Amino acid sequence: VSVRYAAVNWNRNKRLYDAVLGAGVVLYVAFFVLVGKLTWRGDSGLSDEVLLLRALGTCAFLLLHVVLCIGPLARFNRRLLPLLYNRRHLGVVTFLVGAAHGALATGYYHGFGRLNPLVSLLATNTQYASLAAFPFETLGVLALAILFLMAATSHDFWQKNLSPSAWKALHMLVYPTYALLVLHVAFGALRSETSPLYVALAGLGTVTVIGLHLAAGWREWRRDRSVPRRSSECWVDVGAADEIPDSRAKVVSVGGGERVAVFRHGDQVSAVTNVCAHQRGPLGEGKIVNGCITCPWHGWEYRPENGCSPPPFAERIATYRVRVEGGRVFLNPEPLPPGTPVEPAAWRRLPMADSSPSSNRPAPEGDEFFIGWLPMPRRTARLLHPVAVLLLLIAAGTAAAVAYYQRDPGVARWEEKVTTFDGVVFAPPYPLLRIPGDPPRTLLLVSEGKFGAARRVEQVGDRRAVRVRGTLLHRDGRALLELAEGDDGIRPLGPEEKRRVPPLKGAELQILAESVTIRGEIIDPKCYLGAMKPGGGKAHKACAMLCVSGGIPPMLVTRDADRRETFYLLVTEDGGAANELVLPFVGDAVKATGRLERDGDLLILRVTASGVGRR
Amino acid sequence: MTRSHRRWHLRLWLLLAPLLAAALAAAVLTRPRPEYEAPRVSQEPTNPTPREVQP
Repeated sequence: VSVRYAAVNWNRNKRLYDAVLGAGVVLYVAFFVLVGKLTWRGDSGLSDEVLLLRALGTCAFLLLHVVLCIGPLARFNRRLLPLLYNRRHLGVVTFLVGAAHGALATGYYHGFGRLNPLVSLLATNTQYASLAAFPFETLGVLALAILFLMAATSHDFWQKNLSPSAWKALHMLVYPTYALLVLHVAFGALRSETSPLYVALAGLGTVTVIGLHLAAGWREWRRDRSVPRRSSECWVDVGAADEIPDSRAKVVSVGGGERVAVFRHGDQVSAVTNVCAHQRGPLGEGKIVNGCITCPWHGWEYRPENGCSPPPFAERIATYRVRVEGGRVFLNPEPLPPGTPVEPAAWRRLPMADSSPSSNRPAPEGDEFFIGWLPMPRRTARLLHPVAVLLLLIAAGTAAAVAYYQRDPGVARWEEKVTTFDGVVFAPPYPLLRIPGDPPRTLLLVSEGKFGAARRVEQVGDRRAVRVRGTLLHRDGRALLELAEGDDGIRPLGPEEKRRVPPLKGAELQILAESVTIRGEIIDPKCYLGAMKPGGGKAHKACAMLCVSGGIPPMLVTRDADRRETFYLLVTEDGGAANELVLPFVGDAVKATGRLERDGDLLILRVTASGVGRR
Repeated sequence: MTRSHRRWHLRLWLLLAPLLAAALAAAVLTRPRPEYEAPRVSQEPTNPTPREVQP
């Protein structure tokens, strides 16, 4: 609470909260990257970008679970209210970590291609009707947009200007956002990763969030239904005055209206609405501190006798008429306009109770009251310190487990050094280089980024003796060369150079099977052979589609029981490029039927549109 | 929290719970199983590194 708007009204508790939060995020990301690096090393290593974006994504998802669990947990145990006090900072950090994940994933999977990365994010994969190919990225974009809206309006300035009701309604969008993110994970990561741990963790998180909210909602619904009996048409018997601890309230439901908080302050009884004007916090769970009812959520204050915040604040809440007869409190359930002064009802202790009046009794066990700008009560701190340590341990443990059980990306390598080869270049259907020898070897050629090399090869000419320079990518015996930029990436050989190249013996085309069905995954070989690790699976689908639509030759990869991989170059029935034909199925598990041929060291599968389908 | 908010909150979670459970189940249960079905053809290695030209 402050008179002027400030970015953050810092106090010791907020600093501690944010320090633990920051430590948790750093610990999570560091553990994830460290365990990922130690588990998957050398040629089996995952790309640094993949490790980081996975660390950030899973961290944001975990943070959102914590955000969503705090509300119901604080309703079940008041001593967890300090977790709620600064929850908006947790929400903003969740957005920032999620935004970093989104930015990295967009740049990595959708950058370097023929489309603007933001356009590619929404336009490359549009197969919304398919469960297997569903573009899960769109769900993440929607969720991130809502989280941005919530983070941007999280300050009290926006709450004041939007009105508490509109602000609250806007921030209730966190629940649909959570649903969007569960689906984003379910149709993205869970369809790429094979470890049951991922399914178990996602299921556990979802069940916990749903279970806590349903349990809290059910409890509140039952409380709303328990209406106290009426002594007459307009007065409700709330109960004995000495049942209400000093400076505390009894919360009552009255008919179909809002709950009422009946406070006792010494020998006086007052009643106000249970709804705080700030964020609709439960005032009846607050306490009278320095003569003011103090909301347990964010410490907003109101005078019990008129429902007005002390000057210079101007907030007002509804008050109620109340009277005490024979030690019992009676409430008129008709709310008075906010800020209406009501004379507190005087409560005279009965003589029998004088020996141990509740007003003189020490606060009952568990009656400690936390609010951020006051020192934290000792018992609350005793609970919260282990909870903070537990949360940090959960963060580190989850990070380590998720990083360790990532899917094996396979052994692939992208050489750093530039290599030079002489050979004969072939253009259609895909650019490739035949290197003379016994037997001759074949290198697929691609350009930098997510582009094929067709144009560059066309400029040199089909079946020309050339010298190519570039970086090699290879996996399980299959190799590909990314041509270096500039004219020396590929150039025709001069007469003298040609003489040094042995003649290329014509490779005989061999038909292995007229019709064969092969089950595997359609990949873009550049990513799969080492440009990205992993370079396959659902999470990589949009990137693979961008590569194949940019001219990189599509291949089908199969794996045998010993995890050895076989690669088939996919061409159309008449031997043309099959990029457009197979584009919707790139990144999917498919079965492809067609004629199988061997051309030198290349296996070629001629497919038709009807011959390719998801399995 | 206001009464309407509490009601809205409970109804929303009663709606979200089965939807999320169904979506999670659909996404997980329809995952393609790894298959090792491929024709028995040998694939010769194509890595031509040993034949690299040293200009």
